[in-house]
Amino acid sequence: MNKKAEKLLALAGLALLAACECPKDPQVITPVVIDDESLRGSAADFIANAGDRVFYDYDKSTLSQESEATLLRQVEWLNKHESRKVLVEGHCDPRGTREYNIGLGERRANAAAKFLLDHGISQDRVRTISYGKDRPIEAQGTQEEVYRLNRVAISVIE
Amino acid sequence: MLDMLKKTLLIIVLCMGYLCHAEDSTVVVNVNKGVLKPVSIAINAYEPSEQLREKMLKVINNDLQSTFLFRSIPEAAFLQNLRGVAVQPNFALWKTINSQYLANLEIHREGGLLKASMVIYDVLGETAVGRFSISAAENSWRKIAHRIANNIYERITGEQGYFDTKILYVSVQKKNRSKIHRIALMDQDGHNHEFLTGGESLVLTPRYAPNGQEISYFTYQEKIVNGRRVPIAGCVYRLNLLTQRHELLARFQGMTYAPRYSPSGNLLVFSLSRGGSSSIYTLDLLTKRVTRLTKGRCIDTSPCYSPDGKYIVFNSDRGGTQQIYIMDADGSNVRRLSFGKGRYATPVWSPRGDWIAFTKFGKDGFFIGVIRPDGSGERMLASGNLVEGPTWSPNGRVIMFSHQDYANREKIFSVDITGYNKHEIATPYNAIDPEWSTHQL
Repeated sequence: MNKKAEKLLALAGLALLAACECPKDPQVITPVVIDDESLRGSAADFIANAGDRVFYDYDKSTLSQESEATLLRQVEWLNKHESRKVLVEGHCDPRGTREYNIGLGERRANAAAKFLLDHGISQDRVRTISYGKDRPIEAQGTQEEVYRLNRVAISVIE
Repeated sequence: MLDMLKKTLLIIVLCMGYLCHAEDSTVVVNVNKGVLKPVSIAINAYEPSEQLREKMLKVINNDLQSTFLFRSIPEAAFLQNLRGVAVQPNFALWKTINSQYLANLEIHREGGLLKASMVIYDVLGETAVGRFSISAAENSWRKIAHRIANNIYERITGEQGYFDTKILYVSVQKKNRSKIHRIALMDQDGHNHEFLTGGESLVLTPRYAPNGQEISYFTYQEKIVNGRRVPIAGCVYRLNLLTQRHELLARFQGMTYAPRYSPSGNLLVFSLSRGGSSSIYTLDLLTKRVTRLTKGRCIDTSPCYSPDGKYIVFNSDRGGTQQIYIMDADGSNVRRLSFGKGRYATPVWSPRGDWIAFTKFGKDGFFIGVIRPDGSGERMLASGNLVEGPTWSPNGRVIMFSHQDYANREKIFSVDITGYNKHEIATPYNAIDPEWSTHQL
């Protein structure tokens, strides 16, 4: 990753930290003004200005209002950058069996992907994959917080 | 009738705390009931090269003692020091050191082969209860030692020995901030360890084909984009253990996962996840014909055939939470098997057909349990944080499973069907998804 992208991600991190003061939704985004043309439309831009992940309750794949707000920003971003495609990864916390969690991760990725498709993003721009519980998201915090951050669908710009 | 009589007699004798013998093979340790006091055995071995003798004795004693059913008497305590199969035991001397059984073992090298002969004695009954001989290439000394241990186990417990089997599993090595997953294979005692995949891709759930020469496993097909590995699909590969050739076996739109072979080896049963639902399918490995067995907006997964191939047990959240269901092998006649509190998953049919092992979890914790195929007799064998994924020994009397502790250390454990003798299986790195071979080394 180049230095500009790193700087942008750092700004995105600050925005997320600020957002974390809001108790429920760490994905509330404070827009980051991008003055570097080369970074517009990048994965870092997507993370900073749309938010790349939506979270789920235990053993659930229902989208919350906050998740839908994040996905709407993803739709808006994808509409602005029509050449970009997205891979939606489904993840689970470890409190489920390995094989079931592959199915649950796919269900979560599908829920997020379906929202994007239902809002006009064309099918050839959206793919899904499930990692179940076997590509855990590195996170700090209490066990419950780490688990929460792993019940997630992450949109990765390809 | 005679067998029934023997078993009944055996249970009575066990309850009384005595030992007895039958004319052909003495059965005194009831593996099904659990034994808190191990049977003592002396293995009196002769082999001209002391080094090989020591090595083989170590393997035999480790095998027997790993079951917690046997206690090997150290050679230093032996009062009769004459060795060889032709030696007539002085039973009084063996009784003096409280040896309930004696195995007189003799090993020779002959024409590039290693030949072993053994006579097993019931010391209290003062009679021979079994004779055994085997020969194999000299470099197969471990295999010969495992077969000797098998024979002792079989003569004394009446159950099939399992010391000459293999364990397939996924090794998980932490490296920097990532994890390297590799399929690994080892003897059941941890020796002859080897890696079967290189660690480039995430691999999970390796499963043996019934012939023991092939495995299937779940992995991700990937492409390299700007130096990064990008997943294309979750799919099932097979690996020929003889040729070391990996080959794509099943890949469909969506996630293709949870593979398992039918008992005949002709079919692969698996889950296909698409549009938020997972259904169970079979793939005919000869004709490549795919048949859908289940449908619905639910996650149906972890399918496993009964040993006779007539039924498939699986878990599904079709009723709201994960529970175990059984259906006929053609997908008809689905009925729910588990009704206890909590979630039930990863059902695996015993090779003997008498039990189905499963993972159970909920507010009370995580458990490995067993239930009869008719839904009766449910009991828990082991508990622990994030235990899952049981696999049966070929004789259906021991179970291995994964356990992840609170420090995220993942290891394989073994437990008897009695619920006794839970112990860790040593592996070089973290270990998940054990699969016990059904065949011999």
